[in-house]
Amino acid sequence: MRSARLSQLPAAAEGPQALRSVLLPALLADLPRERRVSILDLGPARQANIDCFSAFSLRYTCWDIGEALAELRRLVLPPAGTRLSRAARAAREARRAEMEAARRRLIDGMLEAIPTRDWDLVLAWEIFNYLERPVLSLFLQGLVAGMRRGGRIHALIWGQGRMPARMADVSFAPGPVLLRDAPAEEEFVEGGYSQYQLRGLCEGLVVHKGVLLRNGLQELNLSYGGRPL
Amino acid sequence: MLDMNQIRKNVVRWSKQNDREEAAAPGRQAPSPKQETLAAAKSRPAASAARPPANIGASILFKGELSGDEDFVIQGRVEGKINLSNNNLTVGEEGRIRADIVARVITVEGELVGDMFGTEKVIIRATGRVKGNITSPRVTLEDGAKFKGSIDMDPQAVDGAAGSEGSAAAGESA
Repeated sequence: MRSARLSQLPAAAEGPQALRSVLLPALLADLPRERRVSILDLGPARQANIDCFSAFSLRYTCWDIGEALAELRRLVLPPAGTRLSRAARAAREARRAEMEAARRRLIDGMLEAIPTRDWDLVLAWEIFNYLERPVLSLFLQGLVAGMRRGGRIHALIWGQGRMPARMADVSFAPGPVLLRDAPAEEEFVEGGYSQYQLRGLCEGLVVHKGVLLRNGLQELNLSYGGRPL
Repeated sequence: MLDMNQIRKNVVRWSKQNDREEAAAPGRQAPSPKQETLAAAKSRPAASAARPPANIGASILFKGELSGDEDFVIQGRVEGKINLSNNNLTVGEEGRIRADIVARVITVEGELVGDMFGTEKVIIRATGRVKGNITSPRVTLEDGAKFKGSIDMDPQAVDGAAGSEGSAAAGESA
């Protein structure tokens, strides 16, 4: 795996932080020319993204999953007490099964509602961090089911044990630059994934390339299936 | 099928009645967003600019297929299909649409669930909330606008989609 350092441009006094993207231009350049490609953006719809991607002959799907993610995060099992009675343990196990089924229903419903399929490229910016490992595994399995074999996921993830408490809006602009719109006084909490922690979450999905940012954000290119695009 | 002449007559009659009521009312209020939308649509230069755009008021619920040869402003509820392939459609802030739309320029300030085929342009204003697919050569999304769906700006896809939608609508209305 190749890893390089991403230069972080100075952020304006007000407004989004600008980060030069290393991987996305190469990903876009690799998209097939002989047919129309399909891109899925899991973040909120932004004019900047539309402008960038409209230069290509493609179908661009904006499907903001922010609300569904918030709902998923509410489905959290209460922490296990050290001294639970047998009845309490049984109730907790029943609740766990119930919750896993609810999560699966939510993820399936969220992904089935997307009007397109056969995505060549999925944009998942700062999304993975807000899903617990088992939920992320379920989510990725559902996601790759809608991807074309050989398709890619361009992800931004926070690693190194800390991540923002709230997901920021990220958009793509010429440069190529990723504009990260977050509060000036951003609150960080414990959490995050390294690219190595993403291994084994979903069969067939591998981290193809990764680029580290100074602030802990990582730009990743994940590929699904062995064949190239 | 909606009779456009009848709608126009109703709109003119309704407007005159409103004018009389407003003239009689002391201390006229500032124009509402709805009135501003209508004014903006009226001021737009277009082939059909000679006459004011037809209007579906906020209290109207229309179900079925809406088609015609003039610009339209919808502040009410429409469910079905809208075909204004040579004209512009504005879904006002109070508009609630559940329909597939074919029009030259489609502007959404309200709520829309359905697919849009804009032969020239699709604009979603900051107050707009759209769930559906867009096929158009140009798409403008203002900050704050909510959109979930796919965007197809490929010229061939736009021509194909607008052609098939337009001819289907024409065939059905014949």
